[in-house]
Amino acid sequence: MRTFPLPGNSRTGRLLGLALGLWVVLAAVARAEGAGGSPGGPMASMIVLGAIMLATYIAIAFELLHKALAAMCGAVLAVIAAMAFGLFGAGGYETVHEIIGHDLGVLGVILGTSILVEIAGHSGLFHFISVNIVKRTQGEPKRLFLYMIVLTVLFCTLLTIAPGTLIMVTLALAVTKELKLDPKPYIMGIALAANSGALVTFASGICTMMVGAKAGLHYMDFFRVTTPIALLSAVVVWAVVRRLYRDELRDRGDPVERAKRVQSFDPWALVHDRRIFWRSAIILLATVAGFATAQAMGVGLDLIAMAGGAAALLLSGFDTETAIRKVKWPLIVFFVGLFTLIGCVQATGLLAKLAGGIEALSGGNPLATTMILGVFVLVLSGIVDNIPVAATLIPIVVAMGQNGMDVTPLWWTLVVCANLGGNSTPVGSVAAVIAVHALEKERNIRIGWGEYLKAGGLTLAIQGVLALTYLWAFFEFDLFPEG
Amino acid sequence: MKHDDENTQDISESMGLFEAALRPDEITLESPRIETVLVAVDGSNQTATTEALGRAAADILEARIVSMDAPPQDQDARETVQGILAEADRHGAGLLVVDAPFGEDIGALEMQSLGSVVDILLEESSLPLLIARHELGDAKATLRNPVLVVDWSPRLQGPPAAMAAALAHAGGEVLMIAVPEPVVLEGIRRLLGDEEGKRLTDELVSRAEVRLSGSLVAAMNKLADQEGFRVRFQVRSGSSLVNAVTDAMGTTERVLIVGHGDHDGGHGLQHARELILASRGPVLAVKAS
Repeated sequence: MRTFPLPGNSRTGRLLGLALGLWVVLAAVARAEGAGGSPGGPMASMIVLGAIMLATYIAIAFELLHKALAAMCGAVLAVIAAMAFGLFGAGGYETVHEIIGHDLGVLGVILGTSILVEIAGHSGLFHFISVNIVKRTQGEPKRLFLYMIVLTVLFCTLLTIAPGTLIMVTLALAVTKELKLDPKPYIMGIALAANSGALVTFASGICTMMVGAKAGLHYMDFFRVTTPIALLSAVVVWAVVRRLYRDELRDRGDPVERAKRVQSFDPWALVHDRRIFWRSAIILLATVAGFATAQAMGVGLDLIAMAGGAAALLLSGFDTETAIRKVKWPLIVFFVGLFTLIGCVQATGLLAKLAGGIEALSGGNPLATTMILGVFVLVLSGIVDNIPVAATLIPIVVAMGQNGMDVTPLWWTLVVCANLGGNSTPVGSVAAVIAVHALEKERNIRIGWGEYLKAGGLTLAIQGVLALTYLWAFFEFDLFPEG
Repeated sequence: MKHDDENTQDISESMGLFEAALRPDEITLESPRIETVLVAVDGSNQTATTEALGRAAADILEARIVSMDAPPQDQDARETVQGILAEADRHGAGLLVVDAPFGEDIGALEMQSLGSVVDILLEESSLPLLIARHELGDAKATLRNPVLVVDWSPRLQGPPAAMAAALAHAGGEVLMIAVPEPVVLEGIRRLLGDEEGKRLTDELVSRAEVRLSGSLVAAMNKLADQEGFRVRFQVRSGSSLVNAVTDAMGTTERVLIVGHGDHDGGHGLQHARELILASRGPVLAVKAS
């Protein structure tokens, strides 16, 4: 997630979030100690490295430093502390490279898809499709709203959440300006539906990719587990926003004149190079097919993503330097720093202790653990960036697995709840941040925390209940795929 | 709190694209009816190149070719032009082909001017003027892959674009480029003053370029569908018009198509002269008034 100017109350919100997170962490550690604890290193190393991690998260959450820089600083300090405590044992400093090496898969997926998505997003293909679809609405506000929700889910599924949201938000701003409609319901709908799109497939969102890669979740299993709840949660967005903004979505003005105006939209103005347009579409679809069949072929998704990126560069005619420059390098640096930091903290045994604490909190009941994790992630992801939330919980879930628990339900819970959890506040997800920022920049209209919380909070409350029920049903009827 | 410039730029780029599609102006691209191509040669060492270019143009446009010897160079240039125009009128020519040597073939002083005949033709003739410059490898391939300089004046866009389409039909490629010139932008910023000038960012200007060119891009795409050629459109920011055009021409031999007119908002005659002077390849100057 990137940094944007944020509404004034965001620090208070995040402070509350961090306090909540800290409380849960301390409670879990205390519980673990009380329950006899789990194997871990010396307490001093846990405290020092835990403090470094907490300080890094505070710097990220309060934008005291750019999040990539915060993660780098945290990583450097953590490595120094780990070396000082002798946590790397016989492996010595080489252990740091091993830590990073474990996550090369997800970095490869992000790198490859970034290049591919950059080219596909700039080919005009998705702009072209969206204007053609808008033409079918005749400019009727409610139909336009519905189509925008559907397109948002589709584009975020194919392009990942940030570029998908960017295209849809700018479409909504341009179309509503032309048709003299209030942009707010459309922007809110897109911001909230984008998080549903992000959990449709393995490669639809950064959080999804992180968890999927670490847990070894299969691409095709996402269609079985997350796609239905993604679509269901998008229906919730449609219903809630349509209800809350019913006045704004009321059909006003002359429908004939508006339909005439919409018919004059010319999507061919969006096609700057038809060769890039078609080739990027074919490569994108081939990459999705590659993701779906990677397991059968016995290769990793990172290879498919890199092949897709390379093919896009090679065949689209798009400038290689420009495409590679547009890769979200701050995100890559952030991940490398964060993974190193978490790897060092993991070496202290603190995360294993936390895992033991969570298990103790749930009384060792796997269903209760799943539900507790779900609620925790749903709440925390709305307040703090969901990427660090997922990145921290991943090694904890790994530790639970090492303790003998079947963690497959926990992985899926993490995917679903980390993505949907971002819906409650305007800083909870990259989609919300882009949408709120673009609306203010382009139309000088602000969506305050109160207004966002009303729509986002209600949406999340319904989605949360549905998601937890859905996950419970999967658990109860043993529907989760084999881990 | 920090702003994310990269995302702001992405939002602006995407908005510009949609605005182009949502606010189209009607641009009609009428195929130029050229039945005769008149090639005027003066016996210089450029004659062979000029004739090859004329033959290639006539071949592509399915027109007949008429050649004439232009009078000696020391004669009054205006009389020479009158002679060429009279000949063009007599044959019903729709395209004139002349030469204006480039670079090593001419002296340093001459490099700064196109020669008075070309200068006067640019001002006085309403016919498209194809100007041969450096020696060409494959004249036909050069003409079939034009670079079209797109400007901000919709009135000027139709005729040069229609010429580009006529040359590229059946397999060629039109590369359309729009150039927000730094020197022009700086002038506008100074005019606007400190406060307002700051708001005119490069990003906004690129967005305006995309938006203003949208209708032409749409019209060219549709024509490309019918006529079977390829269209590419690029906004080239950050360099002068001449540098951007030279850069876009690259190493491939392409004809440069420049629209010009007396009224403005778009590239005037001076711009056309600068581009012709800087171009190593042939230039087709199309008057749009």
